[in-house]
Amino acid sequence: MRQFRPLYGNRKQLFSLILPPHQLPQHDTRRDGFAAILLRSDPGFLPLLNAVNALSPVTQWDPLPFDLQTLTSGAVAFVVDLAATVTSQRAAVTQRSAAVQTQLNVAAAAAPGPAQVDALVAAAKALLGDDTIVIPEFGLVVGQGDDWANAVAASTGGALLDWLKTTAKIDFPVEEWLTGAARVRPALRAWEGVGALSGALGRPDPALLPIQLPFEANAPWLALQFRPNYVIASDRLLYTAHYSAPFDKTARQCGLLLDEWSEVIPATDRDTGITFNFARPDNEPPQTILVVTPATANGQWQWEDLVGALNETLDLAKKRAVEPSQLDNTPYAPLLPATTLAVTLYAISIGASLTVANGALKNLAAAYNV
Amino acid sequence: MSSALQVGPIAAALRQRLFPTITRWNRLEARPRTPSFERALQAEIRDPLWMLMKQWQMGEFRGSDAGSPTFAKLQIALTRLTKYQPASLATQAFEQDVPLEAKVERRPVPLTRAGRPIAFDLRLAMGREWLRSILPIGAYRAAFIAAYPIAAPDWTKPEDAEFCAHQEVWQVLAAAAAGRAMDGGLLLQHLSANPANHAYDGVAGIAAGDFTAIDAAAMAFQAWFGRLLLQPPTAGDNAWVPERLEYQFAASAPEPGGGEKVYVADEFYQDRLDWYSFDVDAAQAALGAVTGSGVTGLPPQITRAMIPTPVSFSGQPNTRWWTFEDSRTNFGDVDANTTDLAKLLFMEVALVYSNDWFVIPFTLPAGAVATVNGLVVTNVFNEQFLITAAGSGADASWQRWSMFTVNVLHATGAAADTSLLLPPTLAKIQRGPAQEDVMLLRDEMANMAWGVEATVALASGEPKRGREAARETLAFYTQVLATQLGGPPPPPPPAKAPIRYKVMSTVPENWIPFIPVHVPGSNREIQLQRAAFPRILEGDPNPPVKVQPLTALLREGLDQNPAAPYFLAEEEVLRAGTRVLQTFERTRWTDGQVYTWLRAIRRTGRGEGSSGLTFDYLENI
Repeated sequence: MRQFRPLYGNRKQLFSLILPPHQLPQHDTRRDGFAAILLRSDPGFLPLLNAVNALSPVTQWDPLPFDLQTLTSGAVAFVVDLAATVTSQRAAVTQRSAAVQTQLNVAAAAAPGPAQVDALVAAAKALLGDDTIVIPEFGLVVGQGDDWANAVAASTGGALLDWLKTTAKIDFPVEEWLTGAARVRPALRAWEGVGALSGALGRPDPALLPIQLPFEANAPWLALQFRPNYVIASDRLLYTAHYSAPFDKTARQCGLLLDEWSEVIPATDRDTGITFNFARPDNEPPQTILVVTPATANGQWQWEDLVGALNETLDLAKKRAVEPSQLDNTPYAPLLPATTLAVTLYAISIGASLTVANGALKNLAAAYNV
Repeated sequence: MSSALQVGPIAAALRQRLFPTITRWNRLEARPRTPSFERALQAEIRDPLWMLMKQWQMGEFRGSDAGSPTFAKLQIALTRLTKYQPASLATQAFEQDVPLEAKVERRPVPLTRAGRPIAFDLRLAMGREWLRSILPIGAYRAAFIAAYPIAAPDWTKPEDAEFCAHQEVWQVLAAAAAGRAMDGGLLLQHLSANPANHAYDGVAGIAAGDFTAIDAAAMAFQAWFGRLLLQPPTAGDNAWVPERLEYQFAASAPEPGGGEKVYVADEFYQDRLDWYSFDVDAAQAALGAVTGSGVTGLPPQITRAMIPTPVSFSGQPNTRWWTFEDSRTNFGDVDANTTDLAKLLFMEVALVYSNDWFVIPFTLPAGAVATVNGLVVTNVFNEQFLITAAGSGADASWQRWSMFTVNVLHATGAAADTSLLLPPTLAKIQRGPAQEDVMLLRDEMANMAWGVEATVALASGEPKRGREAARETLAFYTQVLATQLGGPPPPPPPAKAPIRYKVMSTVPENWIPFIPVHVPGSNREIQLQRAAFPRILEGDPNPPVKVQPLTALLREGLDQNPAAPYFLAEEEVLRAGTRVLQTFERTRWTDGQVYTWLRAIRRTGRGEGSSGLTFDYLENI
């Protein structure tokens, strides 16, 4: 309708020149009708269209057709599109809502614990998308909280960075550490970018507070060089964080972990070893203890008794290893091993026939057809 | 029992003597033999005598004509690396307080490229550091930002392509420009250009009373940047050899006789620097003279008597029958083919001879060169044995094989060097993402080589894929040209034939050509020289400019004044391709000191490449 305004203004004088006088009132009525349409406030699309249609056609004054058809069909297409969008949005909302409800039902049914948390996280992801991160809150037990609070106090009080600032003359240790580490850690580089641009855009620099755990009073910060006589007795956790609120050990905590890595501070000395091959004896001590009592109780040991006891023990031990094949060529072969059992062909007497067990008797019986 | 042999009512059968029979005897014979070893290996326990028997069976009681070692007396000659020579430059004293990797591998961190500022991540960090350090002096923040500004990129200027073509760079610069952030790189450039320069030169509104404080801050600022990034000085200490794409350096240690042992590492490009990177150069008697290099700070010899300890390692077989191995390493499960000789040798040593190895611990300072002058082992029978080094003999002997000893170069028939070189290198290095990644390819069809910039560092310091960067740059130039011409270039006239003649095909801008040229003084040997393609823009009235590489690795010599050509030895571009990366590394040293440096790494590439570059051809349209 806005497009109509210049048309109307420009042609007024022209029309009054070229129109026959008797058509002028008709033209003016129609023109006033259009003007009135322009002045209507928010009449809605359809009444507006009908009003314009009622004033059309204007072919008697305007050789160019004033065509509302494209506008109408455009409006129809728009409405169809809108309806389709709303329908699909509605379907998506319904689907998502159902997915969330499913997970909520799972959570309600699950026992309190990891399963319930997993279900609730899944519900949040179903609602907001897969990239949703749910950050857990945690509380600190008393010992941990004290350690943390002490470490924070040592850092804010300046004790932690004191050596670096006064002796090593590093004015901004944390920033120096960050700038160095950001060269090799992409996550810290992103954080560095946040710092650089927040300063540029007039926001305060996000300050980092370094702490070192387990807390040790007067220990230097180990992220940069430290005083030469300091001995690192154990592994340290260097936890450098941006606290959006001052640390309170009694409050619930939560945060985002950007990056973590481990560093090794090498020693000036290296442990090496000189290895050599030396054919040492391969024998081993016995697994048993031999208790020998004297053969005769005359109060004195006889050397022969001891030697005899040892030899006998070894002989006895070796006997454990004897196999029947080793007896086969000896005169004892018919007698040993002495596990003999009586047997008769018919079960007329007490006996134990081993041939029953190995099936030989069955074959024998079959062969003799008995 | 078969029913035929069963006796019915036994009383009647006996009474009537129905079954006359002879009683015989059958015997139960145990046969402790089975094809499966499973039961035997369970090492079951029975009575004490049986346990003794098992040990006797395993030969644990068999006497051998040997004694266990009780003492080892050894003398070690010690010396230390005291001289260092990067590439073929002047010799200098070996710095003990810098890790050797950092010293050798460091490369300059470019802050400009073709005279234009880059590395804005560093420049911003430097600016912030400076503004932080002058904060206690006075309210000069705005004055310094105004004096060392970051220029806003101009969309209409072709020379601002590096800033405007890539969205990442443009965003950073747009946010930092217009008096919001300070370009610390400009300040550093100003300070280091001349020691007489002051940070407040040309800065408006600095009170004269603050000059001293600002000068002190400037000193601290320069020291800070020196600590932040370890860079080679402008001349005289750079081990990187661009023609060979590798590091070359030498180090030497004084010897007791007054001579020197010269170690050379003339082909170092691998990930790690350790003993295997070094060779003893017998042809070099000594490196250049350096005052104080004769002092090692170590005793020349150490003599010690020690008790040798049996070597033990995870998964080592235990020689005793009823003792069990640590099951975490199972050598029995190692799958070795018949051709895996090294693996089989290792297995044999580990499984068969492991209990015959002894170790004497010895702590050495990093950088030391230790030679065992003699090692005498005394056993329980007071017999003494002189132990000689395993890898001794002629160095060139093909049967000689040893670990931790260094090869001897340039001496025919020389004895093997059995001393231990303990370079002061690092256990753990953090490596950042590749800032630059160049693939050097042979292109046999075009008879040339290509340096394909797979990753380039943008002006913001971010690495980006070279192909995308090249496409964005070309798109920017096309757009600038269209703005200048007032519209896109006119389309080519309609073709009469379905073919079109082309003088040359185009290649992406990140493909840098290397053309073969003769080595000076030779008419057979060739080397590769960096060339350049013209950047041809449709409808551009100006003559085309050369496309320059974006990586510092391939820009060698370009940023000099005057620019120098870059020659590359053609044998360094392998048929399999050569890949050169440049990346930041960071580590800690003994006093906790942090070292961060930019280094180059070379790796084998992924084969040949074809650019599709052709000349004088007809194109179907």
